[in-house]
Amino acid sequence: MSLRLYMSMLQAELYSRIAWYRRNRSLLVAELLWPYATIMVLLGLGLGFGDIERYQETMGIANVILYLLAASATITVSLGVLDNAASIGLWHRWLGTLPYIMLSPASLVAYSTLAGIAAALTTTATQILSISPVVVALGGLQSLGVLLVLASILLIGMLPLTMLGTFTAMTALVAKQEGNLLSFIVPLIIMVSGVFYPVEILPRSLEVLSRVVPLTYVVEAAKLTVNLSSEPWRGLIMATYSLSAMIVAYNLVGYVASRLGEKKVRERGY
Amino acid sequence: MSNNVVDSAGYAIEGVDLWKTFYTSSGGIKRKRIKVEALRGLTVRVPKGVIYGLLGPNGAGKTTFVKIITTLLLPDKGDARVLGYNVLREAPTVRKNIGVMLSVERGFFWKLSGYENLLYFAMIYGMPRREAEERVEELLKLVGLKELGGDEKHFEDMSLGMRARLGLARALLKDPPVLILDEPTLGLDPTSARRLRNLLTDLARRQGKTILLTTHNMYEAEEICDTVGIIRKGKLVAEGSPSQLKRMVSEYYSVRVTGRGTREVFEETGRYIVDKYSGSRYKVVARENERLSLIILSPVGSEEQILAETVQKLVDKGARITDARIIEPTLEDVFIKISGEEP
Repeated sequence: MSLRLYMSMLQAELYSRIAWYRRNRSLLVAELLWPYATIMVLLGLGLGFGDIERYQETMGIANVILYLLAASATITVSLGVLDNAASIGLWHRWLGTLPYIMLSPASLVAYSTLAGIAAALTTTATQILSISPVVVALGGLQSLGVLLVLASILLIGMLPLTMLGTFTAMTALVAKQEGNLLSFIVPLIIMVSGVFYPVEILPRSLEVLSRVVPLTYVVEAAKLTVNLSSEPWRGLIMATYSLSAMIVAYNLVGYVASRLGEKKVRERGY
Repeated sequence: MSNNVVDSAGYAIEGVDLWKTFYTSSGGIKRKRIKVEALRGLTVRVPKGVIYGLLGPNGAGKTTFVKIITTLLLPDKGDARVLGYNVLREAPTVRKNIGVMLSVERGFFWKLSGYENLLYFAMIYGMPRREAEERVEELLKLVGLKELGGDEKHFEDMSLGMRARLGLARALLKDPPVLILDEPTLGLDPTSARRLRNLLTDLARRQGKTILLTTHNMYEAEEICDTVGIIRKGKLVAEGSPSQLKRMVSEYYSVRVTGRGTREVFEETGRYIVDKYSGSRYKVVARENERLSLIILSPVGSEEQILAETVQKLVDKGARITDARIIEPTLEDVFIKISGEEP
């Protein structure tokens, strides 16, 4: 299958998402406000139980607001990608568009993965757009570079999640279920990723689990990126290495499993 | 799937000895497994350039067959090809050569316009953006959606007729030689259904496209299909042109001549025809406005010849003819007789 076909499919997905945003502006506004709503809740809860300095010290961050904004954006993008990739099959089945998607020369797995990447691109774009005014206000113009690095980390970090979502999408279609089977995993992923508290305070078993969750490295990288007072590069490179390994592992296993799932879908009907 | 060698010369669509069984379950705690044999050795061959209508009662296996030849569903056994390409081993090539319309009501993004929806699917099928834009514009005009504002209207605001046209436009995006349509006029008002049928006829006659359509509408099958196949319980039970099928269920030609004249004239003419064509029968029936009908049933000769002779005889005897016609059984009669069920 040619790269041109895949690029065309990715373009189609981006086109439909942008058109969808145009038709659902209130949802776009909600997405833009999401990181602020999250940090308000976190700050409110945090201030009720302790002070900001303690949190700053425990997390090892220079600026709480900057970090929480980046963390909220990270979580929103992760949730968006997982939800989009995992639900894409169901969404098309509800709309009645699934057979027409399956009629593309590319496989359904390839389509679902590309749809996940499109979701990663658009969600990252809206989240970076959302937090950029405050980040620039707090960190000055040099923080534009921080945003760029953060966006890159988010996109790389979403690649393993995309295949995880694709596998879930196939499972949902094979099982002929109406819901996203991945939804119960999401709180677990967030819990072990260390996004709102350090991984080190988790029980040993969860700490080990956190090491095989891609989001942990995305959070780590995001933390280092916004932590302008220290030297983040070494840590960032380490996080990128870990993410790269996960991209290979998740995609390899996920691809084989998803292709088996697609074969089942075509055997049993969708 | 077996490795049967299929000679696909001349056939656009070919399904040979197709079998498909589905398993579903019912019940709450104690689940009961239900086996449904959708196809039981179905063989259908559609020659190139024809409109082929697949008829059958609900659950006969029409949609299962459509899904198999469109690569959406794998058969348990049997061989299926489109333009000679195997639907299992050469699925991407098959998909490039077919245009499919499965449901009129759904199948598009509700919040997107007709133009946006078509552009999306064109790119999903691998068409470069610029080429896709031109093709979409062209198709919106071809199916008559442009003039109705369907290019800008959201799918959710479109009438069923407009949705059907949009569905046909999507099926034509790749300009495929083969179109496969599952009940394309279902739920459409008579005008929209006729427009769609005209479009399909044009595509087959002018552009040489092969069209396979499933339908419950006997009138539609009779009007536009060159060949009709009737399937029942997953098997093909009859196939032929609409007139061939009608002949299969009709042992007698039926001719009816109506006009004004004396009953004796009509009776004498009836006797004359019966004497000439052995095995024939006649009946004279009184109609409104003092008219009479002479109905002749004959197993021999041609219906045109009998009709002409009857009219001539009546005129010679001074009757004034107001109506003369050959009465054929309808495709619906054929369907009911062959399938044993209402369409």
